[in-house]
Amino acid sequence: MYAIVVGGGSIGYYLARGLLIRGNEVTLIERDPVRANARAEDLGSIVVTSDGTEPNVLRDSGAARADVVAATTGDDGANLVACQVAKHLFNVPRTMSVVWDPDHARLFDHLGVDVIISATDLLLANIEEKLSADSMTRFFRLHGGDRGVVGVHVPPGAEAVGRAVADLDTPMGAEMAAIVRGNGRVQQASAGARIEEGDEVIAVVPLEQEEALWQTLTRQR
Amino acid sequence: MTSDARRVIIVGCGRVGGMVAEALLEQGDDVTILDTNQEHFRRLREHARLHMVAADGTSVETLRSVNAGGAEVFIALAAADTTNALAAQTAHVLFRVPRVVCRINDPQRRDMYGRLGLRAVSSSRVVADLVLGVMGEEE
Repeated sequence: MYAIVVGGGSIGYYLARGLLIRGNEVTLIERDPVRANARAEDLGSIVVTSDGTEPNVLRDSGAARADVVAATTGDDGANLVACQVAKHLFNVPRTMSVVWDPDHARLFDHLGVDVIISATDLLLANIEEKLSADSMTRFFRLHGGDRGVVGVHVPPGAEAVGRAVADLDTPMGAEMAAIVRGNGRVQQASAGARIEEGDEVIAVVPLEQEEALWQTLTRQR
Repeated sequence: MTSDARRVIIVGCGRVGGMVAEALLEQGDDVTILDTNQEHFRRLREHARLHMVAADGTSVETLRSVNAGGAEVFIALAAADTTNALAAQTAHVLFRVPRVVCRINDPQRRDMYGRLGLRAVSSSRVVADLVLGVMGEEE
C-alpha cells in the first residue's frame, strides 16, 4: 500500500513509522523545515519538506497512485483541504483526517472524508473512562458517519449482568459485536453469551442510540 | 440597525477584509467581522452596525455565538486558503448561509472549490489578470 501522510507532528510521525514497519510505502509531508529535518533523521528520505495541502506538492508526491492520504496536522483547515485535494484532484480512494474541533467531524463526513478521527473526542472518552469504570469509549465512526463502534463497561450491579446477549434490551439498529472479559479475553457477542460484571461490550450503534445502549448495559438493577 | 439591513459575517480583518467591511457598512449592511488577532481591528473605525469579535471564524462554537445561521452572507478572507476553505464550508454546510464567498489564492484549489459549488475568488488570479490587461492596453 502507498500512503501519503500530511503533517509531521507526533500523530503523523508515529503513523508514518507504524506504516513503514508494517511494510508499506510511505511519504511524510511536513511544512516546517526544522521539524521535517528531525523526522528525516529518523525516517530517512521519505520525508518531504513542503505544504501537503498544495495540489502541486501532492502531485509530486505521487498522490495519483496513492491508496490513502492521511491528514494529521494540528489545523482542521489544512487537514480538510489536504483530503479534498487528494480526493477531488487525484481520486485518492481513501482519505483520513484528524479533527480537533469535535464539531467539525460532521462537516468532514458530509464533505466525503472517509475516516475521521476526532482527537479531542478520543482523549475525552479515554479520560472519562479512566475516571469512571462504567463509561463509554467511542472508537471510531463507520463510513457514512451515522454509526459508530463503541465500548461500554458493565458495572457491578447492572441489570445486564448474568443475562444473555439475546435477552438484552438492545436499542434499534445496534449490534453487539464482542465482549472483552475482565481478564482481557475477547469473545464474540453471540446470542447466548452471558454478560458478566467488568465486561467491556463492543458494539456497532447508530449515533442517536448511543445513550440507549449505554443505559442497557449500565442501568442498575 | 435598520430592520432590512443584511447580516454579513466576514472572517479575517486583513486589508481586504477591512475594505470589504467598510464598503458593506456604507451600503447599509450589518457586519460582524471575526479575527483571531485583536490588533487587526485597528484597521476599522467604530460603527453602529459593525461588530468586531476576536475569535476563530472556523470554530463552530464561535460561529454559533455570532448566530451564523441567521446571516445572509458569509465571506472568508483570512490569510490562509485552508482557513477560508474550512470557514466557508462550515458556514455553507453546517449553518446553511445562503451566500458564501471565499478567497482561495491557489488557482488549482480555487478551481476545485468552484467545481464543488463554492464561490471562490483567487486574488493571485485577479491581480495576474489585471497586470496582463494593463500590459495589453499599453501594447
